[in-house]
Amino acid sequence: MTQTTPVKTLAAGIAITALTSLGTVALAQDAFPSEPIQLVVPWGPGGPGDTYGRMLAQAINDNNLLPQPVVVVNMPGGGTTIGSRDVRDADADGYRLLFSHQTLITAELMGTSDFGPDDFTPVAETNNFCLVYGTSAESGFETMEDLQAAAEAEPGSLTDATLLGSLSHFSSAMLNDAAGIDMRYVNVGGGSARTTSLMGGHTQVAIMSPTDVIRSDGRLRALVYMGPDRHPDLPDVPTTTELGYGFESCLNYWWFAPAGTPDERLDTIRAALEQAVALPSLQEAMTSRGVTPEFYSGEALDARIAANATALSSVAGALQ
Amino acid sequence: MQNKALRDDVLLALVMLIISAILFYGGWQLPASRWEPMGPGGMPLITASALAGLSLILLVQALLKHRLAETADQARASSLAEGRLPKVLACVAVSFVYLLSLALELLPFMVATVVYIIAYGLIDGGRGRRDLMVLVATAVALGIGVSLILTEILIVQLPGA
Amino acid sequence: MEQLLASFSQLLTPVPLFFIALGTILGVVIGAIPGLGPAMLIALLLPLTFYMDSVNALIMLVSIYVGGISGGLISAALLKMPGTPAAIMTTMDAYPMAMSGQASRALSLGVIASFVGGMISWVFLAALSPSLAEFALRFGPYEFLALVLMALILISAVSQGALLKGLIGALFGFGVAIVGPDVASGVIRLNFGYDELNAGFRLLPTLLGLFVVSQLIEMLVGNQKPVQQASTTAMDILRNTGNMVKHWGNVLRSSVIGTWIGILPGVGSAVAAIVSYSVTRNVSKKKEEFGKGSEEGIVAAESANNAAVNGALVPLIALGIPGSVVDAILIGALIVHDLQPGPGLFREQPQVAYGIIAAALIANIIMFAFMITCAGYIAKVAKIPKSLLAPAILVFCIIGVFTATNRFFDVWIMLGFGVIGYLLRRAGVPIGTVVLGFILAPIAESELRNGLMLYNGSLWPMVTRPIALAFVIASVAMLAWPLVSKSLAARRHAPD
Repeated sequence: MTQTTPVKTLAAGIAITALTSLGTVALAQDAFPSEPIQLVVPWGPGGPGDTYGRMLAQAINDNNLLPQPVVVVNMPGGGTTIGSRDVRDADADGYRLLFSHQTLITAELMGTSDFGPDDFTPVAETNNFCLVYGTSAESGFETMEDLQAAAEAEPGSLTDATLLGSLSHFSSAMLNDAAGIDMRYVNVGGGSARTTSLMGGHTQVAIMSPTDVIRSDGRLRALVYMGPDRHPDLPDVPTTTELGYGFESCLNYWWFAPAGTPDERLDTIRAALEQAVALPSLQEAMTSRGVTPEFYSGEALDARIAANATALSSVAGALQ
Repeated sequence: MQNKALRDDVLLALVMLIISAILFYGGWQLPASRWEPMGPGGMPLITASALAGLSLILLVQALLKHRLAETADQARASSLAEGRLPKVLACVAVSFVYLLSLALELLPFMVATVVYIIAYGLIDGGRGRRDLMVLVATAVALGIGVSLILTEILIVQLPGA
Repeated sequence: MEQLLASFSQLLTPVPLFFIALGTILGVVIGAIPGLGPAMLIALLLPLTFYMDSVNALIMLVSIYVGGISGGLISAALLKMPGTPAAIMTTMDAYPMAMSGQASRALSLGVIASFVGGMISWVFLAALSPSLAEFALRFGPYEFLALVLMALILISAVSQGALLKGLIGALFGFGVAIVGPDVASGVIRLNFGYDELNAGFRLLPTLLGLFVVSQLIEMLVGNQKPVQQASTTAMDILRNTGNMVKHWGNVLRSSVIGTWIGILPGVGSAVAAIVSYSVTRNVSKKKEEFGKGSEEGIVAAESANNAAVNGALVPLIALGIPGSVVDAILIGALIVHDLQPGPGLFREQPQVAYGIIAAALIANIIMFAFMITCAGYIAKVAKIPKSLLAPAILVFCIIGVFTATNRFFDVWIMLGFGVIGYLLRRAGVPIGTVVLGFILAPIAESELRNGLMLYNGSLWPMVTRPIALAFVIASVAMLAWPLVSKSLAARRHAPD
């Protein structure tokens, strides 16, 4: 009795679960996709990157643009390298994709990762927003000329709140080089830490998103916008081109697949993404948050990625 | 008892010395930073040195049997109780099998979890009819219930196949 | 003010009330299960809230947070496993008290302290958010450094007399935290070429390993008796309210500390509990009791960690800045629902802003009511046979860790720290100091280095800036007090 009862118990347990799990097993099919597609987001939940990824996944799922849902998988850490490494090493079957931006390039340039966009197959670009160099409304600086004057009057007095090694750091380095400003960099952290630092008067300038300035209720002011044309919600802010600095700096959100993923599968995804980006609901949702939804793929995409890589690597040496 | 505790102290000190050596080596390799006076290597080196210093003090105290480093009694974890070894080993083994089956994606989460809970309960728990019924019921409820809630309602990835 | 009252009347209708109650109760239950926690639940529910009305979604998430922080008390007292990191300090005194046969006293003190802490901090949240948030902005790197140094003094308290091993534990904890990305420079430290460690040893797997898995090992190996207890009923708890009155000073002080630390961006309930415990112990007349079942310790930790929840909502609502990691997820929820967190929220969507504030209060009340009525059932947790409890908790830990980062590697890290934690405790190292070193020391390091960058290598602002100076003086006082009071006592007893 004591010998068989444990065995019977175990068998009973296994039988019950096996029967239940049979009910949830999906039958394999040949068409792609035949199971949910996992989108690896290399940030934690709640941040901007996570939010945009979820918005796109949601747009695809709610409108049935693909026969299977796109599921967001958060893999934060290591400055996005944990998530990107996971997709780099994943099976090239089109079921695991990466959502990232220029950080994939800067991480390789700064030595945090030993791989870059070349180790992936680019799928598409879905949205972007360009960066702003901003200050607190109480700092007294209204234009870049004010900054330049202050830097000349008291060298070393200006501090920039940044995240060392990130795209923000690259951008301010390029900007201050072009403007001839001698700037001190203080590592403060990510977006909200920087705006806090500015508002508390600890540092004078920082790279931000236009949304940060717009929704700051007047407490933050933009000095220059690093996009091609003036930002519609910041009409009084000059662009880097207007000021003669000769560069732009934006965050372009790219979808990547592991190298060698079959093109037919990626084309299915590209078609769905192109449709998603064109949806009025998505357009509205993104533009109201200060993000520009624009679809790129194929050679245009490759060109954009390459241009970014070139621009950033030319600055990288100075930042090591 | 005294001797055993002293021996534990010596072991602790030696392990910490090794760890401080690792910390020191890792910190030594880190580059200085052009952006700040104390680079990334500063704290690792300081910590390693402090840890090494304190461990040496502990080691010397224990070796010379000078003074047993005081320890609050509650802080000390229990050691292996009488006759538990076979059960401990079996439970650890079963746990490892469970973990490996998830890590290597050999079994779906639901199945693996139910089997694991039942197996563990069989090794360590009561054998009465009632106990076994509770065990199976809980294992099935937990394994299936939690898995379904997580995968169907919250749509998260679970480890396992 | 009228808008706040309007929010209350809006929320006290069936549907919103349902969401608040659901959130609170779920939060308490999940918070009580070691391995899971409010942060996990909120992160997992975030996508589901897309389909919900925005106010209902946010009040539910906030209620989960309130319930979860309180729920951690239960497993801390009955199983010696903190249900959430915020309950780590509570474990130190609640478990010894429960082991000595007074589980109901431990639970009731904790629940009442949580409730009062939540109420006091709520007053700050509702009335003073804007000014408090402004004041918090003035905290620069050296202010944070001074605050954290004050908390680090706790190492001596938590060591309970074994100072040498306590310091070793803290340094070990700091060493563990060093592995991974360096906040101040972005360089990856001490991964020895092993890329999997590029994120370092993350908080959740490390803490779960050191506290929960090591305890599971001890449960397996040892012959512990489960916590004894007489039956616990709601009446027992309410009777203990009288007991609480003598702690009024402690509760007030701890709630204020907790609220304040919650307001500071980047530090949350766990640090609030640590600082409050530290300060309370230092001013207590019964220092020796701390760590052995001190009422003051439980009260200090539980009122502070609940106060920090409301405190963290202050910068969220006033400035759109997260006060803690969980609040960052709440901001994500706001953005997803097309709401702009920040000062504009009060103007543009007052029903959301005031709704969150009102919900925090209602959730606090529901939490209290739920925990005292279910106290009897809750306490039965201790009676579950460990052969069933242990594997179940391990399963929950695996779920908790895996769903956070989707990597099985972190599960192995948790197990590794479980073994390490058990061995350290066998060697007599107080695990609390390891956690202090792990959580606090990296903050101190990055603030120190950021401060050096900001002030061009100078340390003088530590004493020239008023707020930093205040904390430095407090730290020196806390260090010196034991010596001073001993010599004063000696003089008093010395024959004339």
